[in-house]
Amino acid sequence: MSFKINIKELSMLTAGLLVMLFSCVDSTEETKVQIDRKPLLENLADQVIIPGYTQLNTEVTAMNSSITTFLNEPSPSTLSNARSAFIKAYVAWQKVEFFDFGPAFDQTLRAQVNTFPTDNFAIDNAIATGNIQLQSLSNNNKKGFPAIDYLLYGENKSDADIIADFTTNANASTRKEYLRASIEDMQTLVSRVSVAWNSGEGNYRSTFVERTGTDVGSSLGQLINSLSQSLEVFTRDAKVGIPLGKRSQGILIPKNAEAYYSGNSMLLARSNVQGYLDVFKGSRTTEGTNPQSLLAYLNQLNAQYNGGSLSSALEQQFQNSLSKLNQISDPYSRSIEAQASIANEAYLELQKTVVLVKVDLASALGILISYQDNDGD
Amino acid sequence: MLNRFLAFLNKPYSIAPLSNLRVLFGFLMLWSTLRFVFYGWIETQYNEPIFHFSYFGFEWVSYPGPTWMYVLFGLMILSSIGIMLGLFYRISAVIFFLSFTYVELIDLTNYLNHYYFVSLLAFVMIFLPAHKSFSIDSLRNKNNLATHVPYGFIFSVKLLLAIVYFYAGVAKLNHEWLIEALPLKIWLAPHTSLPLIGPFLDELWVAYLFSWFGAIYDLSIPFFLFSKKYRSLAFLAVVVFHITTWILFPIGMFPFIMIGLTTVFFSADTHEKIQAFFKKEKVVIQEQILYKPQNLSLLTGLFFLFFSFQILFPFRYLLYPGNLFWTEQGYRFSWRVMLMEKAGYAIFHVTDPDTGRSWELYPKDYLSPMQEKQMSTQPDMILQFAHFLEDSLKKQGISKPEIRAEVYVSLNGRGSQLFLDPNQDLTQIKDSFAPKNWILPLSNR
Repeated sequence: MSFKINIKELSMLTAGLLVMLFSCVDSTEETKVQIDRKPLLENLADQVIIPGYTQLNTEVTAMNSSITTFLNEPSPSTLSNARSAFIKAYVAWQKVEFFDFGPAFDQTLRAQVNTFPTDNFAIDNAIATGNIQLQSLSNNNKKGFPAIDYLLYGENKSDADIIADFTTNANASTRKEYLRASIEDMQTLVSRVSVAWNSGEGNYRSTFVERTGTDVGSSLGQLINSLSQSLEVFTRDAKVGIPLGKRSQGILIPKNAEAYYSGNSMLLARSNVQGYLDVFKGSRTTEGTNPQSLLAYLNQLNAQYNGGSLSSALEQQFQNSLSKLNQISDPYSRSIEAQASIANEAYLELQKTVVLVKVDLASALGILISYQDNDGD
Repeated sequence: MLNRFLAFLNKPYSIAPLSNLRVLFGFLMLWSTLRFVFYGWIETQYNEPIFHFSYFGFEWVSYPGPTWMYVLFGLMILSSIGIMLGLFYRISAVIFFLSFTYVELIDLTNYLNHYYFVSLLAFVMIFLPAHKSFSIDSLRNKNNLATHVPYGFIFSVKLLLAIVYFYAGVAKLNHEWLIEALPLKIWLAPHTSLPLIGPFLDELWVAYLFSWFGAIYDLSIPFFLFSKKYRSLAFLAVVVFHITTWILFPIGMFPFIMIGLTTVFFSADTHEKIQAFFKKEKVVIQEQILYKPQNLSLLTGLFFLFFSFQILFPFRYLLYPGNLFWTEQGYRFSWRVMLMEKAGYAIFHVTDPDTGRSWELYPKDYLSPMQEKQMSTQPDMILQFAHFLEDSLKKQGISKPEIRAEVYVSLNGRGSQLFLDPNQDLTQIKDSFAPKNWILPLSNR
């Protein structure tokens, strides 16, 4: 069985086909996509991620000292200072929560710092028995911001009640101890992550900017996977959807709101969504977009969405989510019933954001989302 | 004509290509199976998921539990060794075909064209006298020895390989692949960090070159491999092509399987030389012993049916309306390899008519990442998952749940768009070969 194939004929045919092809290609289309991901990653590290962790570290340190002052001299003014430092640190946390890779992943920072709802009964119990252990995995829902939120605000407690808790009430000293342990634990974790990104030889920044691929282990791959996971599970669900009954057959669960005791859920959610936008714009300042940003990169890739650019669709979608969140008043746990329809709209905007990130963005970047090691074909 | 063809099939031909194919196939399957086991994929792909997607018509193939999964893989390992060594060959071939195919049928999520190809070849191998030389079976029993076989046996393997390539080429003859260089335009650009060719991979012309070369390669390589004159050049092209795809895409063992198996196209002479190199004593050329299959006509009939099916089945998509890549009706089992960039996201809306309450369910709470990824773009899997949700809701005491899927899918760089009719209660739909009229049409941008 043999076929006689004339190489000359074949090469002429191929050449002919190629000429036809290139005359078909729209000549206005860009012929070269300028892609260099290193500056993109450097910009992300230097303008967004590291400043984010640095700010968090600063705010946590400030919170630490304000709360220590409160613990040393409980009074309305030290309580108020402690609380405002707490809110500032919590707001700063929202802008790095979604970086669940590298040092933060190694330290399981997110789970240790912001697992909510916090187990207030277990906290009371630990304070009553004096058995304070924050290190084990099962204690992630008894520490971090949600636990401090509970200790500094309590449920339906006046400022005087809180001060009494830390001065005259039974177990006041173990309560102090619990709060102190919580802030120390958080300080340790946060500074470890911050240091890992910043300091000296072999810091994570250099690892981050060197992994310029788009495969699973690449920085962009990890970042996008982490962002999309966080957007879905923590922003859409935990911050908005779950209290709204989205996972409980429509039955509201106000107590599952983030920062339930201080009632700052929406303040935090807005900071969080603004944080994603900062990542995409490659800048933590309000003005403009950095030329080395993800949005600019998407434009270089010529990524499209419904006749427009994917980058502007994404930016617009984050803005839409923000403006809906803005219409919900804090405390979310109380506004949730009266403002259920606007909360639903906010939820839907976040849902659309999830789709854009998980489907369009990942597709445009050629990144495997929700990666599980396996073959494809 | 028919007589000439039968004579062509019955012409005695050296058994060497067949026995070498057997060794290579056994070795590649052993390697693939061990790789699968050592990567821990039995756990992640089979044991960890709480739900497994069925193949239509094969719902009776159920996940047998973790112990039996290991037994099945153990059987695959033993039988691939049996095939490789030519030890209890027929039994090994049967066991390998059955265990491999059973494992594949457990979860549609893991469908890969190359797994389908392995199943088909394993089936064909059962009927090949590949153990009649260069095997333990033939050493143990001299009656089992043959130097020649009817050429039809070797031709059937070549034909199967030729179909895979040619159909993969035909599948590339579409507007997006040829005129838009999609999805390669999306897939190649991120690989600029590769050495040597890397810097060119984000050039548009490279995406076109790869697309057109890929199509021309797939369509023409079977003919070049059959031709004596261009065979060695063609094999070089095979090696370069598959190694390139292996570097660029996560396609596992497929490149090595194809490189290994296309050696069957080499001449009898080449194969005999290879065997002579491995044989300790140089055997003097014996008289020709021709293997004569019993039930030749039955075998010919079976192979005729098998190949007719292979040739016709990939064209079933013509019976369905809509864009094939979008609806995927008639997409599988047709050698459509690496043809599209598709991603999706599915939200399931549940309504309990008894209480009037509505809520949402998310696949990630029930499925592995791989399962969710596959399901989100494939209507039949979405339907299966909706039925799974229906069953679990009924167990929770919701007697008549309504389930609607809000699914967004992006195909080849188009913006994500609604995939299915979001008002369709999927519990009211049974899967069948009938066109799925609840798939919304694809709109171009």
